Amino acid sequence: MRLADRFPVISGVGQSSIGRRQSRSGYQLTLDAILAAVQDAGLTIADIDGLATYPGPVVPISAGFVGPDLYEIQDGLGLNLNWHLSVAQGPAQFMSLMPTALAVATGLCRHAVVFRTTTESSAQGIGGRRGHDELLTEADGTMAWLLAAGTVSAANWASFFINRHMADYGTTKEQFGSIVVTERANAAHNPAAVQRAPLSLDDYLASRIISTPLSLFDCDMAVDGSIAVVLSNRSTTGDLRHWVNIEAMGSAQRNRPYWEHWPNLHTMASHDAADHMWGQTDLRPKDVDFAQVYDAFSPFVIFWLEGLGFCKPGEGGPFVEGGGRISLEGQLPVNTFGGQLSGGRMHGWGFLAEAVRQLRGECGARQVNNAEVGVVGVGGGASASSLLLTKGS
Amino acid sequence: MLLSRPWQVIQRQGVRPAITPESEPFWKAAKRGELTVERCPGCGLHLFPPHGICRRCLRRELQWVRITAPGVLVSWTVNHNAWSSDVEAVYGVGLVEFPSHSNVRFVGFLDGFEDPPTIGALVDYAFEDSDKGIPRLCFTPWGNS
Repeated sequence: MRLADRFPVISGVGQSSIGRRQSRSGYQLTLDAILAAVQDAGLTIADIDGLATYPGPVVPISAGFVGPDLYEIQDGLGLNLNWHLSVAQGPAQFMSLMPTALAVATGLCRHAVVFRTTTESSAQGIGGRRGHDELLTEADGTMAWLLAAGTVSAANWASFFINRHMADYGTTKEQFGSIVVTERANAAHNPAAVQRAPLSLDDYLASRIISTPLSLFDCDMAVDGSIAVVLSNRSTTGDLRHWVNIEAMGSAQRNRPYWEHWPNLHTMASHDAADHMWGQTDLRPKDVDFAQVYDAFSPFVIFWLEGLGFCKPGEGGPFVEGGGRISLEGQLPVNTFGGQLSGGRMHGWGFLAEAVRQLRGECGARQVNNAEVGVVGVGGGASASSLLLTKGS
Repeated sequence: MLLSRPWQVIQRQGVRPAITPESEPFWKAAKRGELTVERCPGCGLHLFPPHGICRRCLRRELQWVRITAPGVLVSWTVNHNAWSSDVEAVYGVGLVEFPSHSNVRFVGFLDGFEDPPTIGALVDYAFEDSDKGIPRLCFTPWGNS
């Protein structure tokens, strides 16, 4: 039996308002997202017997990073659970979703809600981007050595990869700008996006440098918000309003799990996740109608497009140049909702929500024509995971 | 512009590492100004970060060896954002590989390099003390000292 025949369906998606410095708590935003997702699936809260999130109540790596406590959400909604998980290590931003999908697939539970909530915008106030040394007093684990070395931002770590891509392949700042400008143009068609004002390549090139070669508009933006999806066992589709199929899941971690020790700086963990994902399916990159891929920093899109096989290694820059190929009308529309650059940093979950909506044909002015297969890739550096989704019913 | 040691950053920025039984020898050596890694006497692989096991042959009795310069600058960035309010914003950071030590890599501050620095440049290293009690690695152009 193909894995895809056992994977659950994505039956619902919901989100709170997503924006800068919202006045409501992460807990209330989470309730908004979950209630919307369950209603969207055509289910009631009483049907939900699984609940999961990441990272749960761990030491936050930045202010507002962790969402509410899983069990307080369980209690607020009065859930009786057969599956419950909050998890801080695993396949990138889908570390909560993937094991929960397996729990639903095996029948441990029937309908599971998986959510991600952040209040980074409120927690970090009106200042600029902060370092990871703001809250942490002692660091352990894979990031500990970078933090001890005094480098406190992923902007620095990511730049090690990006500068090598530029030096060895001739990738340019203008090519990064093509991604940023295209995503902003997409955001103009998304009422829920955080930044919708037109942005030109000149505006982009004029933005202040954060860490060479990254400038401000290459970096995603802290927001407050929550996104939830419902995963349902395939046997329940008769009870559902609609659904999207999971064709394949890339969860691989094949190289050393440190940004600074990643062996080939022209690749990221995205390449491993993508390879694992493609190994589960007969679908190929040419079959994909759109890509929603991580853009914590705009060049990550290039690493994802190469990793997923939409172009050859080193050709990601020319692939995105000018934006035509990745625009809504292009050969491969990318980050059709504006990505995290214009849509806000929902830690990967905005990409998933958009992919589900595109495959259901609900995206209005930004709808990709005949969208039947979509890929979602989240993460960067030494951590990534991916999903291949297909149109359901 | 010549990049220089960011003294305030070296002093104030960053997070103190948890000192574990595995990492303690590294930090003790660093306080003496020595950059050290584990080496597997069985297969010869140099290992960092230290885990007390060789990931190639799973041998668990390892040696500590001192890294000798030069290293090679494999990538870099010049930071322009003040991540804390009380430090300078502009400084260089390098990712350096040591070819004579199984290409183990380290991150440190760049001192005396042009902006942009040249990938492939040979580098020397030194540790600087910080207020946080963490020795901080700094890289200088090879042959300058």
